[in-house]
Amino acid sequence: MKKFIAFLLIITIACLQPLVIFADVQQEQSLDAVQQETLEHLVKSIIEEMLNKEKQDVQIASLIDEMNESVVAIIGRNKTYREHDYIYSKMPKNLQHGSGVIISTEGQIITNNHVVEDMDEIYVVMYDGKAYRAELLYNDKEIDLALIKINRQNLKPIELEEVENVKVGDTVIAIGTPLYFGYRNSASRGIVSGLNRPVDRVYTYLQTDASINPGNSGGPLINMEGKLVGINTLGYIFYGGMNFAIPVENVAYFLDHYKKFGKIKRCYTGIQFEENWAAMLGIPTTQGLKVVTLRNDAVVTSDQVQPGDMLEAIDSAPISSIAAYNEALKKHLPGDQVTLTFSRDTETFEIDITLKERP
Amino acid sequence: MKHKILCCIFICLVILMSSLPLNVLALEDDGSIDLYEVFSDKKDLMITEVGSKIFKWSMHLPDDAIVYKSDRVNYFNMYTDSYKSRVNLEVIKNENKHTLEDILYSQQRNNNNYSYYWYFTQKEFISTIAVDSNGEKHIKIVKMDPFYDYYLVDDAAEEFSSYIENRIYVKNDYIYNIEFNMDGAYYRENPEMFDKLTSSFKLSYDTTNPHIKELSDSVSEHRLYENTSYGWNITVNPYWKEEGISNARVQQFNAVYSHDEIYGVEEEEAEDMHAPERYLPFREGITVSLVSSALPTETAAGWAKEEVEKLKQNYHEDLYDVLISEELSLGNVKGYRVKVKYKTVPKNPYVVDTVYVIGNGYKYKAVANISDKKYNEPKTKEAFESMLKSFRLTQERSIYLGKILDPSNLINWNETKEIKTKKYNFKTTLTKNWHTNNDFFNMGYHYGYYDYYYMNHYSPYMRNQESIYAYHRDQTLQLTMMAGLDARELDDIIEEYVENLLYNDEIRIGLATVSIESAYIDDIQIYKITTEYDLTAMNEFAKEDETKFYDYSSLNNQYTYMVKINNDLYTQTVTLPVAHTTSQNINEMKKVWEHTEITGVNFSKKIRDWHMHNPEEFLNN
Repeated sequence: MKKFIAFLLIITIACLQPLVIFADVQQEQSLDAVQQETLEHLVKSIIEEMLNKEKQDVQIASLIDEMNESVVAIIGRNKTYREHDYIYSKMPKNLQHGSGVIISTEGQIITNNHVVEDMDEIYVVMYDGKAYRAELLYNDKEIDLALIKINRQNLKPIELEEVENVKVGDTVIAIGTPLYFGYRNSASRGIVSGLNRPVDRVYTYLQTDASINPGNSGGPLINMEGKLVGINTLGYIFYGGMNFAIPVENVAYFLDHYKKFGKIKRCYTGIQFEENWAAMLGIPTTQGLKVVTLRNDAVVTSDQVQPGDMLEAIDSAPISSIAAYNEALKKHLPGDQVTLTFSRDTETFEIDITLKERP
Repeated sequence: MKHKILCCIFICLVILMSSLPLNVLALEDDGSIDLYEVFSDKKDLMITEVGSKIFKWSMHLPDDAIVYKSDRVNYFNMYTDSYKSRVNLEVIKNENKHTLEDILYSQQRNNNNYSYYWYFTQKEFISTIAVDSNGEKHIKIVKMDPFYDYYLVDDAAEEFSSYIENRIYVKNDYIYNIEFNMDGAYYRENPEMFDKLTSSFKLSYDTTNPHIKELSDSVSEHRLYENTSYGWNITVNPYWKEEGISNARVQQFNAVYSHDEIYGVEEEEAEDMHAPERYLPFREGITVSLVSSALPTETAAGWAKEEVEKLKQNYHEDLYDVLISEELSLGNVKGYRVKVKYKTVPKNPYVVDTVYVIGNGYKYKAVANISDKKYNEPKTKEAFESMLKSFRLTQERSIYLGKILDPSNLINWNETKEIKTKKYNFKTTLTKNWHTNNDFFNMGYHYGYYDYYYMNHYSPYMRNQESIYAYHRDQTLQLTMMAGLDARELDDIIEEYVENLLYNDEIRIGLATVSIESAYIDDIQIYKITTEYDLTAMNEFAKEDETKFYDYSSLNNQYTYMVKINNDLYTQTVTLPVAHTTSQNINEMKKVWEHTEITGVNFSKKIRDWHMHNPEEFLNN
């Protein structure tokens, strides 16, 4: 790399010389000075950028090396697989694998729920190639996260990044086991392409162009500080660079609830909503969520809310999609009081409710 | 002393017991789990060969091999990456007793075909009859699959990109056609790997060898099939399996192998599977279905008797025998069994053995269909009957399974219904038992998304003929009514029609009769032409002549009326299969004409006498 920079410098200087030689001798001295200064600044920035890049490359290499220890591969048999009589092989046909990341020195590992949900037994293969049988501590299908544990101590856990430190444009690295189990601890680099993406209409996701393929699921998306910014979860197969990770705030939410309550305590209103087509297509809209029906255990009565009413806001925060509704409730615990703002025809009204726990 | 010994033993046992889980955990905790062991199927761990007991062959199974096979394992395809090879095997019955020489001759003759596209051509280098390492004589064809490229030439690949050895064996009354295909570059370096594969193929199956995987072993034993959506189970016979999706409302079970293949028969007993005399109007096997919800008052016996009554009304009395009609216990539920022998295919009568069951609020039917000949063989009969009687109701049902209404009870089948042509004043008044193509029962395209298209772009067939079809709901009687311009004289029309009928061979030799009658109402002449088969004569004929074959379900008696009014001809034809010619169906047929109106006139009511004609008078001299 250094040779390359030296070579670039020589080329730049050589290119600048003719400009000086062919400069009009009649031009004012001040113009020459400005030109010279601009060029020198340009050269300086190029060199700085190259040096930064080199520094970042070295940093990425050492970061991956450092973080690899915390990344695991997860494998098991899918118990839901239906055997077909027309195929026979000694090779198991129902093996599925994914990735995971260590979050405690005592062997707790976080991964996607869809990686382990259907496994009859979960096995974890560490960076050093050692294999362990894991225990499923808790999993939640909706948020698509699972917590598993292996019997190994003194592991190196990953640190969770603070939500406010995750910015669009941050360089991130995805580490995992894409496609083939032999490709364990494969790393790919990208940036945070977007935040709060309503991918599955349940929770929002972090979007990245770091390469994520089947098998990467459950693996960490880390920033240049080596901290977890997301759990790699899904991507569009036939399009490039459109991948999504569960953002660190949802990972923290999952872990926090697990530690406090042994499960995610979700809030519940018992009101069923219909999302409008614009929200489904991701088109910005100020339309709220249409009430479809009230369950028997709803927190509001049919005198207060009727089918066709529109939920406009929760605690004054506008709501226009199911994902936004879930994200708003995520900030609360059952028993909390919130204010729901509804509209009916031209009238707007507010109802204070106490959130229930989702059955 | 005794106490001390007992105490020592107890302490030792406690230490041993408590150390066991720790050892197990310790093994897991040190990260030394071998995932090959973990994920391997324990019963297959020592398997090194695959084969078929029925077709008598076996060969080496590489550990990484993936095998695709047909149910019967007469088609076998194996790919192994560690050998860079693919093996294809086809086993077919040597019905025509071909020899290796016959096959080689026919193969070479077919190869003299220069119309192959050049890029498909394989190059044969050896084509001979050889003996393998097990002493088996076979046709050996060695060929190369060259790699062709428009622009690049690879000398080695030009010779072969794949090395292929095709072997054909004739043994055990089968022809074995096996092809070993190895990547050419790999073969050049590793010919002994190729030999390992080819030499492992044996024309025998060693039942004592525990290292062979019998490829149909998943179906070789009795298995309990449980339908957890509809709440029943049945014990499936060895070498039988279910077809289609599992847990279906209508589940079909069939034998994977033929009777001959499962039980073995002497050579002279082997029959041609495709011979016309083996024709059956269904596929042999057992079908289990949930028919509908049951009313609290319904019983299996009552339901079965109703079905028998329908059968009697619909089948000619000489063409069926009710062999068994009895109650039977299916676990804690009473079922009713009706076994009927149908003789509608005189060369190959068949048996339909039905078990009717009502339980859990539903009506279930398990039906065995099989040729009578096979049913009389003790082993086959035992297989069918034991499976049928193993049917049991269970409480394992889908939580979504609700009421399944039998709509036939909702319709008043005696309600009248008019069937008529659009342009011509030609109609008949029947009951709802008759369906037309315009009825919803056919789910025709008229009711699809394309209504708009058809409504706006339909262009009618611009001719002066029109016809309408209807069929009886039991699929027995078929009605065709045609009206249209026909400027010929009625006598000429009848002459042509009768002449065509009389060309029928069965009519010529007296197995069927044509009767022609006519009547006049004012100046309108009406013809009635009837073609009826003589069942006794047909049976005799089929019995005497082994080469003649009939299915009375598709052989139709025909009843036609023709009326000419002005320049228009009105024709009404009802067909009734010989098998279904019963007094009830004949009455139903008669009602069609009796309720027919042409140009507003019901001629049947006006005709007093029919004048009988001799068919000969319509033959052209």
